Amino acid sequence: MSFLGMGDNGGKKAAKKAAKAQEEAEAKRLAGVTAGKAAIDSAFKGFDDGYYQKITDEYNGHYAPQMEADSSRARKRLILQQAGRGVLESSAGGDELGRFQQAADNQRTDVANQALDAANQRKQAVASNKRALYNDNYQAADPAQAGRSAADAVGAIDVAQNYNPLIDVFSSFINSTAQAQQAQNQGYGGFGYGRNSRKSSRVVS
Amino acid sequence: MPVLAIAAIVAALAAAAGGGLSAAQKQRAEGKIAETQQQQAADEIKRQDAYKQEAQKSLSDTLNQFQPDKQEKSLDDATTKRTDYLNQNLDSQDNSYVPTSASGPSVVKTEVAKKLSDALGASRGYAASTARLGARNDMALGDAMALGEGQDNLNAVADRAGGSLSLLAGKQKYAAARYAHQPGFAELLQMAGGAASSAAMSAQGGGGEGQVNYYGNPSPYARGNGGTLGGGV
Repeated sequence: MSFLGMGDNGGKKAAKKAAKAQEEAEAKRLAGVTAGKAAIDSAFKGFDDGYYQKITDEYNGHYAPQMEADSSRARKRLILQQAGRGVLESSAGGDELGRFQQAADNQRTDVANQALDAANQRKQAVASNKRALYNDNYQAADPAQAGRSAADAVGAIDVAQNYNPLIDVFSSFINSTAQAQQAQNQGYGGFGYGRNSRKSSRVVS
Repeated sequence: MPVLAIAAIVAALAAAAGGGLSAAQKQRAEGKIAETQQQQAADEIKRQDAYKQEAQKSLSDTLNQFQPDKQEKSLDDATTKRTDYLNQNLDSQDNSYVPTSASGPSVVKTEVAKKLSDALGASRGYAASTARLGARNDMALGDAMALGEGQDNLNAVADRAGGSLSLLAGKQKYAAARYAHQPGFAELLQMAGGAASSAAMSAQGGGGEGQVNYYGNPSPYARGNGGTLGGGV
């Protein structure tokens, strides 16, 4: 403040300083946001097509062998049952095997389909977490914090999948076959099994 | 004419001149502030407009992915991809085993083979319909992710636009301070004139109660000619 308030550059300087400080703070914030986003992207770069393919393969690799083992056991039992009933070389037996084959194939399809869905679920989780981190980054504009948060999120996402035991759908198939045979033995026709069945060589349309 | 009276006249003239100059300077300063602030606002509007266009382009790019033909292609691609995977999975299994003995009637073997072949066909049909359903989910996820990325882009532009806008107030405050009217020579003259005039009036015995100081406030300290506190006789 100079004489009689004249030449008062104090207010001008303060306003200039404040404006400059604001500009610098905003430039710093923007740089922080940019660097923070780069840190997040870097932490998430592992989630590429190969990663999701691996999720699919792991899922399929876990369930498909179980399914094949169940299927193989059930098929053997079915063939043994058919041989025991004398319908192995019959069109009824072929029909049964065909239905079994279809059930097994459908199960394979379901497992493979779920494997693809598992990868989709992971994609969704990744995208959702990444978006939340981006939004936080706008507020914090702190690359170090963004990097730490991203690493934590990646660690939480990239965990081993939780696999539930596979339901053995084939045992119920075998049971129903046994029930059909039992029903036939008790006089209910039409199943093509056992002593009440027609000749095994008969072709059932 | 007494010297003091002349001084009073000169002071009055100076004050009048100073007042005139001061008003013009104030007007110029206010004009400069307004002009600068308007320019700053116009510049900011331009920047905001550029951000808006950037956001609109980003939005258009995102929405462009939702054109019916692109959606159709996206669904086709997803269906093909899923179908291939499911079929590949089916093909990897051995479905060739037909448990008929070599001695079995050929008609039965043919029939059993047909049953198994039909079963495989039905399985492929199931795989195809499953793939179509799954592909819808794939596409929905792809769409959701595309929308999310579009939202990310809009957020980024909005963030920069908001940051830019937040600086305007500070810039305008600085412009106001920078060009604010500073008391110059004219004001000095006016002030000096006012002071001299007061002094002259006091010297002429015009003091007393109601005497005002420079600031126009009643002054208990103003002295009249040979005066006493509060005015002479």
